[in-house]
Parts: sequence; C-alpha cells; structure tokens
Amino acid sequence: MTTANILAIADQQQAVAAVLFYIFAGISAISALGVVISRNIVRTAVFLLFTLVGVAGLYFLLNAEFLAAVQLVVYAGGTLILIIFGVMLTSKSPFSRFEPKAVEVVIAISVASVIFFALVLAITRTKFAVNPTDFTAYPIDKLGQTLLGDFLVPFEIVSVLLLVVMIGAAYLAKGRRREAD
Amino acid sequence: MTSSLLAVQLADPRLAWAPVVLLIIIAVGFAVTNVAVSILIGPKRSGKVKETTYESGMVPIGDTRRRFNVRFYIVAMIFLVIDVDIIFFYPWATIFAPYVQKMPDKSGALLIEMIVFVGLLLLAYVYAWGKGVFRWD
Amino acid sequence: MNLFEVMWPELIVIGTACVLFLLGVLPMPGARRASAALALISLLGTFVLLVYYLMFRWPGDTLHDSSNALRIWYFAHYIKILATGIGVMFVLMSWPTNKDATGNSALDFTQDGGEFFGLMLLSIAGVMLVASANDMILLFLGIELAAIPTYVMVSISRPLPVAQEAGVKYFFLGAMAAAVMLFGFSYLYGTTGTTNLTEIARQFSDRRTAVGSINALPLSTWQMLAVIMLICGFAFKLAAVPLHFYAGDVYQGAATPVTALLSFVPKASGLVALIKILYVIGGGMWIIPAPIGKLLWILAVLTMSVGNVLGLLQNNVKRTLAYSSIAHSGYLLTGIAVIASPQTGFVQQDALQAVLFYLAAYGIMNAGAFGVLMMLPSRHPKAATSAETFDDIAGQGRNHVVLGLAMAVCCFSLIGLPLTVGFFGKLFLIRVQLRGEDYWLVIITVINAAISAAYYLRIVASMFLRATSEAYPHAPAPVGVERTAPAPASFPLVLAVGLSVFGTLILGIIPPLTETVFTTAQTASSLEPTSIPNATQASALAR
Repeated sequence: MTTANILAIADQQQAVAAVLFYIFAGISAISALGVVISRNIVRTAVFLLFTLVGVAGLYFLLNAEFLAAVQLVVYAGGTLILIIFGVMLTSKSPFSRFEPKAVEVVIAISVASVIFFALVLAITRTKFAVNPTDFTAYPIDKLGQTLLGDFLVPFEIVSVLLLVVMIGAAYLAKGRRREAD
Repeated sequence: MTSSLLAVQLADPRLAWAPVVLLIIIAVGFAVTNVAVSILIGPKRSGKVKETTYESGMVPIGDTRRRFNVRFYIVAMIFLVIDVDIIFFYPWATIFAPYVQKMPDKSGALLIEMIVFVGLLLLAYVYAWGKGVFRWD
Repeated sequence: MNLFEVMWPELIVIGTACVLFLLGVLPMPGARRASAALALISLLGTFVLLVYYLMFRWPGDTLHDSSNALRIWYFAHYIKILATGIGVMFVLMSWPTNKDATGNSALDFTQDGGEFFGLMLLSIAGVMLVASANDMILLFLGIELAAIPTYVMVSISRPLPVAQEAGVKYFFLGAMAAAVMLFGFSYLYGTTGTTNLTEIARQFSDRRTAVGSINALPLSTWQMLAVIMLICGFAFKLAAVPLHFYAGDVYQGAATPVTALLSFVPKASGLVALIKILYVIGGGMWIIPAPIGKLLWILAVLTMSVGNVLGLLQNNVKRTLAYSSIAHSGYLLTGIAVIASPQTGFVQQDALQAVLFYLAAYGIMNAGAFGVLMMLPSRHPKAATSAETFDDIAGQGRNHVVLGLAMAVCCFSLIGLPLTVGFFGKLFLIRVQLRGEDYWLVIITVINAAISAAYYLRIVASMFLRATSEAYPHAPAPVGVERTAPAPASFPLVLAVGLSVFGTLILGIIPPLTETVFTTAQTASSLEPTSIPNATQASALAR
C-alpha cells in the first residue's frame, strides 16, 4: 500500500465522517426546531427524542461511545419517558396544545438569539485545550479506571445524590402518611 | 511516515461501528420503503371499522386521552434512577474482569467500591419498600 | 494521605443520614426522637472531630487524597466547623417536642422525622464537601447535595399547600440554576481540559507568567461565558438579585426551622463555591479580570439595595426575614466584590477574612431570630404553624419579655448595632471596603444598613409597642394538625435561641473573643499554604 493510497483512504474516512456529522447535526437541529414550533405536547416530546438521538450520533462520531450510550439510555430512554409520564399524569387532555402569546414569542426569540450570538462569538474566538478529534483519548476501560480511581469520591457521592432523589421521589409520590396508618 | 499513517488509519475505532450504521440504514430504509410502497400502489378503501384504533384485535374501550394513575409516576422515577445506575455499572464492568485476571489483589477494592455504590441504592429501595411505595392500594 | 482520614467528617454525617433514612421507615414516635438525638450526636461528634483535626491532628497541614480531588486547609476546616456548629442549632430548632414526636411548635413532619433529619444532615454534608472539594465535579456534587435535600425538606416541613407550592417552586428554579451552573463548569472544563481546581489555577497563573504580566489576563470569551454562568448559578444559591425571586415565597412557605436552614446552608455552599472559583480564575493570587469584578460589584449593590427595600414593604415577618437574608447575601458579596477588585496588596485576603467572619456572624444571629419566631403562635393556624405576620407577633414581647429581648438582640445584631456580633461583621466589611478604596461601596453599604434598621426595628416595635391581637387565643386548631399550647418553651428550642443570643452578645461585648474568631477567619482566608504548588510539587501530588 503506498502512502498516496493511505492518504486517500484517510481522506475518504474524513469525508464519510463529515457527511455523517452533517446528517446527525441536521437531524438534531431540525427536530429541535420542531420541538419549539410544534404546539402539540406529545409531538414535542417525539421531536425531542430525535434531537437527543442526533446528539448521541454526534457523540459516536466524536468517539465518545460511553457518552453516546449515556445519551441514549438516560436521555432518549429515561428522561423522555418521564416527560411522557408527566404529560399523562398531570394534564387532563394529554394532547393539549400550547398557544403562546405574540409577546411571549418575541421575548423567547430575543433571549434565544442573544444566547445564540454569545455562543457563536465564544466558539469562534476561543481556542480549546482539548482536541475533539483525538480518537484514542478515552476508551471505555480507561474511563472506568478513572471513575473508580481518581474520581472515586465523586462516584460514591453520586450514589448518595441518587439516594436523596429516590427518597424525595418516594416521599412526594406517597405523600404524608396519615396519623392512623 | 507510512507506518504512522497506517496507525492513524487503523486506529480509527469509529470504523467498528460501520455495521451498526449499515443496520440502521437498512432498518429505516425497510420501514420507509414499505410504507411508501403501500401508499403508492396499495388500494385505498376506508370504512367505519377500518378507521377505529387498532387494539390488537380487541374493540377499543373509552378514550386514551385521560389522566393516568399517579402511581405510575413512582414506577417511572425508580426506572430512571436504576437507569442512571446502570450507566455507572457500564465502565465498572468493563474493567472488573481484566482486574480479576491481572491484578486480583486490587479487584477486591474495586468490588467493595461497587458494593458501596449499590448498597446506597439498596437503602433507597428498602426505604421505598418500608414506606409502602410498592403497595398497590 | 489516606482517603478515609481526610473524609471522616463527611463520612460520619452521610453515614448517620443513611441510618436515619432507615429509622424513617419505622412509624414509632421513639424512632423520631432517636432520629433527632442521632442527628445531634453526629453533628456534635463531627464538630469535635473537626476541631481535633484542625488543632491537634494536623495543625497547619494540607489534607488531600491521592488524586487531589479533596484539599483541606484552614479555609475548609473553618467552613466545615461553622456548618456543623450552626447545623447543631438547626437540629435543636427542629427537635420534635410534640406528643408522639410529630414536630414542634412550628414544624409538622408528622411521621417523617427520620427522613427530615437525614435530609438535614445530607444538606450540611453538602456544604462540607463544597468546602473540601478541589475538583469541579466534586464541587458541583457538593452544591447539589446541599440543595436537593432542601427541596424535599420544604415540602416535608408542614402539611400546608403553601409549603408544597414552595417546595415545587424551589425545586424547578433550583434545577434550572443547577443546569446553568453545570453549563459553566463544562465550559471551564472544555477550555482547560481538566477538572482539578489546582490544575486550572496553575494554567491561569502560567499564562500570566508566560506573558510576563502581573495584571489579570483577560479570559477567553468562552471562559468568560463559563464564569458568568457559574456566577449565575452561585447567585441563585445566594439568593442574589436578580436571581432572588424565589426567596420570598419559598422562605415563607417552609416551616420556620427549615427557613432558618435555607437562609444559611445553601447560601454557604454558593458563597464557598464562588470564592473557590474566583481563586482559581485569579490564578491562585486573586488577580481577577476587571469585568468579573464589575459584575460582582453590581451584583452586591443590587442585592443589598433590592433586598432591603423589598424588606421594608412586607407584612409577613418571615418574608421580611427572607429579604433580610437577601440583603445579607449582598453584604457578603460586597466583600467578594472587594476581593475581585483590581486592588493589589493584601486587600483580597483581608476581604476574604471579613467575608468569612460575616458568614459566621450571620449564621449565629440569624438562627436566633427564626428561633424566637418559632416559639410564638400564629393567629391563623390554618395558614401557618407558628407566628408569621406582624399581627402574630404584636404585643408578644410584653407577654414574653425574654423572647422579646432575644428577638431584639438578634435584630440589633442584624442591623449591625454595637455590642453585638453583627456590628463587628459590618465593621470589618466596611474596613476592607475602605482599604479597597471603594468609597461608593462604603456609602451604599452604610445607607443599606440604615434602611434595614427600619424593618428590623419594626419587628421589635411590633413585639413591644403594639397591643396583642384579639383574635389570637381563640383560633381553633385545624383538624388533623397537632398543635401544642402557645409559646411552648421546649428545652432544645430554648437552647438553640439561647446559644444564638449568647453567641451574638458575647462576640459583640468581649473583644478578645471576637478577635479570636477573626484571627481564625484570617488563617482561613488563605486557601492554600503557598499560593499555588509549582509544577514539581504538583506532579508529586498527582500520585
């Protein structure tokens, strides 16, 4: 295999990665727009699903497989289900519609555009310390070693936090026991 | 020069996911093709029975647009907490087996670390149990 | 250094909390009494252990674990001792004294005493973790550990719709603030490539050395965004204007002992995290970019002024105290603004010393005011468990002279009148403002102290000068809510108020004691033994 050949293959890979990036980014962006524009709350939730899946795809492309799995399991799998549950449990009609006032739309757009321009400005002006295309940066086993080595204390504290969350949820769901109980 | 380029080429682990991408493409393509083809060439007839909701052959009762029992909420909550827990199991599981094989003396500590993690979660379970969250009354 | 040795104080508190959750499952009154006792013992034990660590075990050593995620120097010890000490007062204030131990004069957690005290301990453990944390992840987890239990505690504290509403409101806004904060942390990580605070501080200081400048280098735009987001998150925890809007409703909705906790514990966590991040941004030498200094200055002035002006307009004493606690966040932030000012010399360290002293003073005097409020009955038991409105406390100072005097002492201290610890708190703050040559800040602080006097004196005046409201003794207790007789002088509550008033007075009257606390704050004000460990030390620390 000649150097030119290998270079061509590397180029091809780059091109494929770029195409996939635009596909995933497009899915995310268009669905995110759908989340905002759709007035039906269940449709909003489904659009959110595609946004989250698109972001998971981007994580895969960045070689962050663990993060992608987290994104799929926790966000696309867990949080979204919670949102649907929230709709089912609270609303009298789950297919209720949002009817935002014109003023609210204007406020929301202006806030969003301020944040958008701040982010664009920040991205274009900043040089990042971490190279996002470093393929070999964090394989999953190294992540495991870091998590259970250097980050052991945060790791255990996370479980304490989960404990609090679960106790809070159990308490709030069950409510106060009556005196007679 | 050549060797380093080779290393770059072979080190790209994203290539390992190519079959998965292919599978997704095939799956999505299959579904889209089926729907599209049946819309294009299938017969279009409509009727009262055909427009009812499909409930696996049963006659649908009532409306789905109603409020669900709040008890489902705790199911969702517990699911989510376990979900997050599984995420933390994943990296641990990837290193535990190699540790047991190569460094058995260190694997004990690794196991205890996970037991503490799971133990705290178990505590939440015991609490929820004692509180009667799992009772369906 | 062994991880366990470094973490014993936190481990004791968290471990006790876990036991308390198990006790919470048992529905007997004995379990609830035992919960309170266990919580008290664990906090007292931790307090003693921390003092032992600080004075005998490792005097002057920096405790850290192998990965340097925890670093404990005088600063962390000071905060942790303060948190456990004030925490003891909160446990005493929440002591279940009712029949069947379902709560006390203000608190009504019915069967859920175990959970209540467990959550309280975890919240205090959160502040301790924030104090020890030297890693962004741990810092964030500590802040959340201090905050998340309080969301549940607000709803647990009493069976009134207003408490449930407060709990939900606090939870949603708190989650939003946490999200913004996490954004900030992630951006800071993205631009530096490490989560270790020492490491980040060294990067900032190295950049300055590389350029050969002694002034602050501008942060990159992305880092600026990160720091602003972090300050937003911390400002929410501090209830700083413009992120104060939840404070009034939440503080009013929670039962009074929980309000007392809310006005100290989450605030301490936000303040400590803010100090740590500023230290890191300043490259370990408090050299902080001017825009951030200006932002904090504006935040401080707004918080003081809006808090005090809104405090004037309230009809509910608890709401007044909520705005007073916002104003006190503002005073604390003035000290932070001096730290972040471009002044050179040792102003920064002196300012931190004043802030730390003020935090202690605020914790001591604030608990007393809420404690007195707890002991007074409400005229409308359906809307509140203990005294809330100015009508409720009207004339009560004449009925219960000691309570009236205790409230007067706390209020005078919160104003900053001499012979109280609040006086020295304000004195030290104004002194560093003068040393920082920030005369506008001095003027605004003094004006604010004067405004605040109006509503604190209104509380005292209602207690002593107004006649007791007629409606009060005949108001029927609502069904299903256990109520004891008016002004139940339970021993733990009296002890808590007594401790607070005693601390307020003794630290105000006997200067050598004040001096002692102040010098402790001074040793605490250096976050690290040397400014920043250099590269060789750091590599030695890394493993």
